[in-house]
Amino acid sequence: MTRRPSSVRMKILMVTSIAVALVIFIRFAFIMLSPNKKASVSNRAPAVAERGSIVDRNGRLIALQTRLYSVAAWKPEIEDSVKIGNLLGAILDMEPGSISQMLADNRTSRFVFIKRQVTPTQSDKIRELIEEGQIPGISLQEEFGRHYPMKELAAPLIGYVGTDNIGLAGLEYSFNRILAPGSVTAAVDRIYGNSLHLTLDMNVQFLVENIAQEAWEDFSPDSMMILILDAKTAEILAWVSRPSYDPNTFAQSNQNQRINRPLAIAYEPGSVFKVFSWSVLLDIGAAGSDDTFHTASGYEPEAFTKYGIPPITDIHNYGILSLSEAIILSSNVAVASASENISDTDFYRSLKNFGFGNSTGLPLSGESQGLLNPVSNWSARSKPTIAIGQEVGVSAIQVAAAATTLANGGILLNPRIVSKVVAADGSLVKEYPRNPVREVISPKTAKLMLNLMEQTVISPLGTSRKAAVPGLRISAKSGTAQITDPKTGQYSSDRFLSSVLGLFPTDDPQLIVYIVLENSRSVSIFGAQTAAPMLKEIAQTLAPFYGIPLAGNTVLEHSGQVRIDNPKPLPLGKELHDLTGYSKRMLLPYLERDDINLIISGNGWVVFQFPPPGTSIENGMNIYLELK
Amino acid sequence: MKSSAIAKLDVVLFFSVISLQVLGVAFIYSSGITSSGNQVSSEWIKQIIWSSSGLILMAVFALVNYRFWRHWAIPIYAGTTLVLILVLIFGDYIKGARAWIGIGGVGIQPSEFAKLSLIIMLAWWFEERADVKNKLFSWVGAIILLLIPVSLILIQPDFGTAIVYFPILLAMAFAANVGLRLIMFPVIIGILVGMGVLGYAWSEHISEVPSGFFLLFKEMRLIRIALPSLLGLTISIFLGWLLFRRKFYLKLLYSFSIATISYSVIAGAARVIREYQLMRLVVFLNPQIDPQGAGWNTIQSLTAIGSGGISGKGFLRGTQSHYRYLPEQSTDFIFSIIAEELGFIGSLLVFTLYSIVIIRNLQIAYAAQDRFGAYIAIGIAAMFSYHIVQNIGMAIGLLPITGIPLFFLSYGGSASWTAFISVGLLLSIHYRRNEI
Repeated sequence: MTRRPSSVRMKILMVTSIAVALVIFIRFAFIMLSPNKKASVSNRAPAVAERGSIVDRNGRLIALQTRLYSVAAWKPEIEDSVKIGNLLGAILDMEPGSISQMLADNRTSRFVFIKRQVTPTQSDKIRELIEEGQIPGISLQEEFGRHYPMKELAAPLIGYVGTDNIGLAGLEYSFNRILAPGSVTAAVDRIYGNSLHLTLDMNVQFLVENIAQEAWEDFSPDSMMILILDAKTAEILAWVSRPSYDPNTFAQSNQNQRINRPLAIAYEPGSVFKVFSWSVLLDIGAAGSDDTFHTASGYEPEAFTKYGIPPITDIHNYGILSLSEAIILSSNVAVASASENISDTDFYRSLKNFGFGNSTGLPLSGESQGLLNPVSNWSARSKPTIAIGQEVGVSAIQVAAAATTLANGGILLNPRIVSKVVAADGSLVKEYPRNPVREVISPKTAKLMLNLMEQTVISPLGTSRKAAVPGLRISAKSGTAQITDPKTGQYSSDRFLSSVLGLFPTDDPQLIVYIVLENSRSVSIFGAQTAAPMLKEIAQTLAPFYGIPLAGNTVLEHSGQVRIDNPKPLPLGKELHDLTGYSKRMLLPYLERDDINLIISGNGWVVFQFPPPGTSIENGMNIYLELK
Repeated sequence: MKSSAIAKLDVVLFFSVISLQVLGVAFIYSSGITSSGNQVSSEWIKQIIWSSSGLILMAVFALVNYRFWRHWAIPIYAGTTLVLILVLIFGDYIKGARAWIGIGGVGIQPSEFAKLSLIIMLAWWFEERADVKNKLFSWVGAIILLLIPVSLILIQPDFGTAIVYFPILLAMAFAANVGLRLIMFPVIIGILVGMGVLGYAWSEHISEVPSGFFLLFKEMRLIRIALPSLLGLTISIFLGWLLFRRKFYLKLLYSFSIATISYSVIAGAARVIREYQLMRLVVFLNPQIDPQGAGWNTIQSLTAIGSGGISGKGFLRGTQSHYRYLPEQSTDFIFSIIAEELGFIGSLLVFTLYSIVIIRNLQIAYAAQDRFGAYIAIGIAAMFSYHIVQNIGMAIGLLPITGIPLFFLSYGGSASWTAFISVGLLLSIHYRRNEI
């Protein structure tokens, strides 16, 4: 009656089982025996992948990799989430309830970070608790963080990295691929990114930031920019963008603090721009040193009256002006009427040659190209308006870069912020050498312009006279421009941009300084009153720093080496001489003698001896020496 | 008499099972050790208690003539069904499922024992209907018997455990000579649904360009068109068969009903499937999609296994496990610890022991004196095989993650007892293979 099941089907079942087992086994053997799997084993310390550092021109660290610990929890080992919450909450300054809630939440992954990158003090305390076995399930995971020892200094330029070590702003962002280490592979467990050597000099940056801070308190502007360039190489030595922020805690900063103003903000430069207008006009012959300008009635050509355009005027009626007077007084009318002698195209092309309306080629992202409309978009008033520094948008770095032409015989240089990229092994990856772009004006015009700019400082009527530094020849041009209200698109009636451009020393400029203050609230709106004194202070501070002679001050030429003579210890004669001031090393020869015993206490130099000098030396006598 | 009793005992099966169990306790011990070297879990002691009591159960079931259970098949089945219902009402809510019932501080998982009760029930059912020509009714009846516990377990919800019942039914039906076309009907639907849901997961979470095809299961406006058309077609084919009674219609009906059912199930699944379940499927296709979350288990398990190498890191020296990277290490991922600490050679031992268990199991089925015993043995073989394949397949990333234990090795009272009772049944069937 009872029969066995079909044997064919039983065999099929057997074969199927074996086939499935084989598939599993082959896959399993493949995982266990494939050699490259072993490399990804996480039983070693995590591989080290270190982001390169950013250093200034002297090798001073601006951004560096740090190892910080993150507090992590492995939920399966957590026993008492409330207790852990209380213990950790006290150390980490967090709400204990939120920690225990985080640990009790079963919906999230079993592995959670409680707080990433805590301070060394916090991680030490937590390590103690772990060692005491008080907080099972909590571990410290080493993570790489980024530290910015310079804090707010040049922060908008340097930028910052996110928690995952990826650059999010500034140089950290633009050079992320160069700074970031490659990915860890099986072959190497330790890799480093390249380091970035900047042209910045953090000493200069610090000095300038101090001056900026004072001005910030005195004038309380909305924002401030200062650029210091080496005039001969176009290396940027200091880059101030205020308000600034601390990249170590970038999350607490706001967009207004993080914006890299000298690069990203375009504005109407105002009278400072006349430096370049006059340079173009003088170079092309549209104006000459002997020209006179009738400024009494303002500048109102036929086209203006035809279209109902208000005339261009000066703040005072200056009457008839010579060229240098026009520049000293910063006359709008003079430069506007001189611009009649140049064609639109020539004017446009020359300004373009100065670099306006183009990016400066800095290896940074987010650069504003400024605004210089092509001639086809110009109206009847465009040329004279641009000549006085309106209807043109510039960035601070454009102005500073354009000023290199004056210092280099009319040749424009590309500004430089990065001098070189160096690999972890010290080899040079990339260099950014001095880069002359083109000759914009003749050397003669450059020289003339510098001398004219000097007049604005030394003339008692000069707009930049407050920049005068006793004993230093300094060329400068200040300016005040109205700020366009972004809401209305109209000039704001109470918001002004004060700026000053300075080069010194005039006969062979070494430094370019460009200062911009937006909307200063006290003393005066005028660049002549706010920015110019800052230029003076900067020049006074930096001139000695760069060995620029100030008349009246003697500049000592020194090789930089100091020779310190190592005094030879006197041989002991019959009498004991004065041993005070001898170093321990110098006492060595005496120690070698058998006839006397030196008893030395302390380290350093001899401050006291017994017996006193003059005592005759006897065989086997003890000499006490106290060193400090 | 006594000597012949021992001679009749399946010594090979017995010692394979004991070896696995000892290995299991050792690695449950290992799983409780933390990186600092402290034993933080008492699971290994509990497991020794479960194993010892399981051995007694095994002896009891080996001594009792398995045919005795034939008379008790229906009461046992009814009883377990009742318990499964009670669990839904009074059960403890552990890890997102109401699958546990507490008896004096000890948690019992009735869905484990329900597998055995279904095996006995199906063995009885298929033996009852062995000589009946109309296999369609046997098949439909078996499916209904299956769906009762399965749907109760799905309500808990414990998808992983519910799935185990299907291979049991298929293997037993296959052994019971149910027609291939009948068996293949749900199998094809299962394969289509599996592929459809996997494809849906892929299209939703991995593919950069969502496939237009899978919109067919997602967009309600498309479902409103597709489902009635498929349904209409199937019904008209059925009507055609009623009218003309031609074989041709049956074939069409077979394929179209498969298409209709598969489509509705996939579309339904796309709506009701929980995010965590979908993510399990997604990370099965690509663990790196969510390495810190849903992909964590697979990646950690693969790392543990891969780091074992040929000879392993040595007992109690595994890092993946002791640093607690590996989740659920005493239950779902115990195999990964063994592979990490004993390496390829040690895992080879585990494979060999399991192979012996399954082969002996099938031999017992083959040699059983009657259908009832053979069907039970087949059912148990299917259950064991599925658990082993699914659990190890999950540990090596070959199959999606469903939290089912690895019999004999994993920690767990209910699973251990179920395994020992199964072996007891097998020993009983083996012992009485020549009694006619």
